[in-house]
Amino acid sequence: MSDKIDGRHTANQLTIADKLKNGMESGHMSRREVLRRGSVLGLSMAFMGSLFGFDRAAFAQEAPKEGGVLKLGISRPRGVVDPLTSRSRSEGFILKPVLPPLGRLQADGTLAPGLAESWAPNEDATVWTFTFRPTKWISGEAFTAHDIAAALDILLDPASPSPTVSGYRGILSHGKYEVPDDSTLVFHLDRPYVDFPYIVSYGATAWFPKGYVQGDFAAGKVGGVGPFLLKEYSADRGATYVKNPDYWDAANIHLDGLEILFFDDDQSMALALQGGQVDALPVLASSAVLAISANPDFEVLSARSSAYNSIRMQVDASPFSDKRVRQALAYSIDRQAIVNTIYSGAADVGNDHVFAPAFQQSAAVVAAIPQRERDIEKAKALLAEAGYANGVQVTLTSQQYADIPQYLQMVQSQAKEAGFEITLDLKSQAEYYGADDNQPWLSVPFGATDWGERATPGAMITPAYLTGAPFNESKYANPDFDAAAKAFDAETDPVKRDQLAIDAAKIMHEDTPTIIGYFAQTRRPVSKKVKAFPAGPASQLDLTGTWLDQ
Amino acid sequence: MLRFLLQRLALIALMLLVLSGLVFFLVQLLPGDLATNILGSQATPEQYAAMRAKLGLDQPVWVRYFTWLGDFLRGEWGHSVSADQPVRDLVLTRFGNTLRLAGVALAILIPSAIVAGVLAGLNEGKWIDKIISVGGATLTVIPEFVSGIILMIVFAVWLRWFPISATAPSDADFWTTVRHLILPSLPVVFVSFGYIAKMARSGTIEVLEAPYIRTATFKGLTRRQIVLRHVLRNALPPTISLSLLQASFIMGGLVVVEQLFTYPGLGKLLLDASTSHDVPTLEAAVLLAGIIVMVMTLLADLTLALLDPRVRVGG
Repeated sequence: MSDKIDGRHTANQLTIADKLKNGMESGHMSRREVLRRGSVLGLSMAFMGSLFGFDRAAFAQEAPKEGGVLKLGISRPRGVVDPLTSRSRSEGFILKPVLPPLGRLQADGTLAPGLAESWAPNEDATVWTFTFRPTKWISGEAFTAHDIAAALDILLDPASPSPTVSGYRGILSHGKYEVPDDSTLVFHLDRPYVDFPYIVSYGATAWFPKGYVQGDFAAGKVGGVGPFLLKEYSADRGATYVKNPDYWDAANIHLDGLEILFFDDDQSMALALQGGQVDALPVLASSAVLAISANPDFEVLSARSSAYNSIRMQVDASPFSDKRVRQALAYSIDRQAIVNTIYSGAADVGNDHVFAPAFQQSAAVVAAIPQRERDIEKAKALLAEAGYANGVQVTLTSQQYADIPQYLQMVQSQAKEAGFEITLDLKSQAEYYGADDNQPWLSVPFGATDWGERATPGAMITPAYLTGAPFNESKYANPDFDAAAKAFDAETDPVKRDQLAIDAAKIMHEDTPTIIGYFAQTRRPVSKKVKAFPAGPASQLDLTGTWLDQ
Repeated sequence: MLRFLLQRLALIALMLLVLSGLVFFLVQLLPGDLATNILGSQATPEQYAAMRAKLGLDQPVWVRYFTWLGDFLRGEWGHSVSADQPVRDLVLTRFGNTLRLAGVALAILIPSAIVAGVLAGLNEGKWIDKIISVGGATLTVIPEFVSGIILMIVFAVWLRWFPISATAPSDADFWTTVRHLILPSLPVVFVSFGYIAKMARSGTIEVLEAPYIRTATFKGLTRRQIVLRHVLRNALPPTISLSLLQASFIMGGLVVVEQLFTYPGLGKLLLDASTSHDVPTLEAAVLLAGIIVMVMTLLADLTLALLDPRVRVGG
């Protein structure tokens, strides 16, 4: 554990703050980037405000009105919602009003304090110390660091059904944490990991009290420590909540309550918003968003996301074992046309690496690597060099899911001009993912997969692109890339970190194991009477500051 | 009659047994299994293995089938892993919900279709007959998901008369519950309206042409008396019989309607249980749906026999 100098920050954090200040003064980083980077490393907003000269009043908005019940529509989660098995966004939306995350991730990528009041890494980011604020469960028992440690004991058990096991793999192992006192939890990581606060604040993981038994949440036995208290939960209809008067930030919770209604169909959900049955939709398919965006009573909030659909090529299977064939396909598609057609512009063009615009390092990476534009002549030349001057016939296997069929049909049509004769083999989602020895998404030589939003580039790279990674669907293996990606995860110096991001992105872009044509933005249709609703990120819903104008 | 009834019941039992076997083995052909459904596609091999052992999925399929069948016949329907509750409670609750929805649908369908059909029959060839006949046939061919969306746009978004979600709050009173169910019941009503109205119309026309109606007219009975005493009495039996046969159509339509209107009924349960590989729940739901369709078909035959002395079953 590091000693604190100003009562809040460690010497290591102050060094980082100095580097951020230099970065900003030299024009290397914007204020927004400084805030994002500082927040994840545990620098408080007040400290950054005084150090960098930010005026919080500049962010002040319309005075909020108190009261009212916000009604949200979400896709019905599968089965019964429980923190032990939670893995979807819908499950997270149901659980987190009661069982909030350690840090609250904001739409702009900053990480605001949550259950954890502060956090700080050691010098090489292998040891992280989290300090929790004094608060209590509704049962009256104090919330302590022991609760988080007990939850981790269950969630990280290798036989646990929780997705937390795979999310933390290679970063934090079962039992590698200690509780020196009730308000402090110290994590000993498997490897240096600068973005660790994101890992414990993201995804569908919801923390629960010591002694929790599966089913307690649905039975209403968990009072929670979040901004709301669960009033009623029905796996068929949804959940209702009332404001938690004892919540640590109750002054900024302006709603009296929250009601979440389940829907089985996107069109019905969109119509329920337009019919006034719900006030906001935290997640809606892009096809259903279009009708709402034309309605003046609603606005569609957008936030950048790191979710993408990979068109991945197994690097050990002909014809894609030749890098030039992979690059040729990448040069044959018109990314902007795809973004305009499928998303009406509400997506960011991708450049065949995972450093999405939602990530802190995006600006540096975008400046360093030229955007791959459609260049049919170059694509044809690359194919010819690889020995396919007369074109190449390939089968692209994927799934009937969301926008994937439409995307692949556009790719099929655009790539034809360069000489790619693509046959689409679209399976059901269950068939594409399969099970055991039959998992087409991992085994087919040429496939397209939907990758959900992640909090950090490392969380994208570790399971899917490191050599031998369990979900390395392209069988990509490049020791230089592995080294750059791991060094990136371990580097605390923001300038050096940017350079490592550029290095890793350049290698991935050049090797092109996958084509990342775009990163679709999170789209949240909201009634105009809802104010200060969070635009993103897609899997989080922090209602601090949200109010109803009624 | 009794022999006929026993034969039909034995046939139903045999068909249900075959149905249970077909469902069990066909589900195995679907990609994935219950463990992948619970854990998702990115769990570790250790997690999959532990979950499969816990769920008994490591046993051969025929062992699982006969274990399930033996338990089911003893009245032990098992536990739904995906819904985390006993299969019996789950299926019967969902069935109750479907009965409520079907009840509202039938309460709208049968009187309106019969009245429309009789009205069309009494006005054969006139504009009212044409509107009812062509309108009924048109409604019949509109798929439930199309009419459902149109109804939502008109009655929930524009007029705001009805909510989109069919599930009323848990503390809702009777009329609030019915209000939630009206919109979802209409697509099902539309599909069957044309058939029943057409049958009532044909029955009415047939009766109106019968010699005894002419006799009744000559005796000086008013048109109202003729319709009530003779036309309805003779034209209704085949119409009621057909209405019972519509149960199987309604069951099929409810799968679509319950999905569209987010209603936790038997149709939605069938869909969810099959996509999540929840075999004990799927089996129980399929068998219950099968029983309903088969028994309604039998009832239709018996009703026709009872209402119309010209029809007799079993020699």
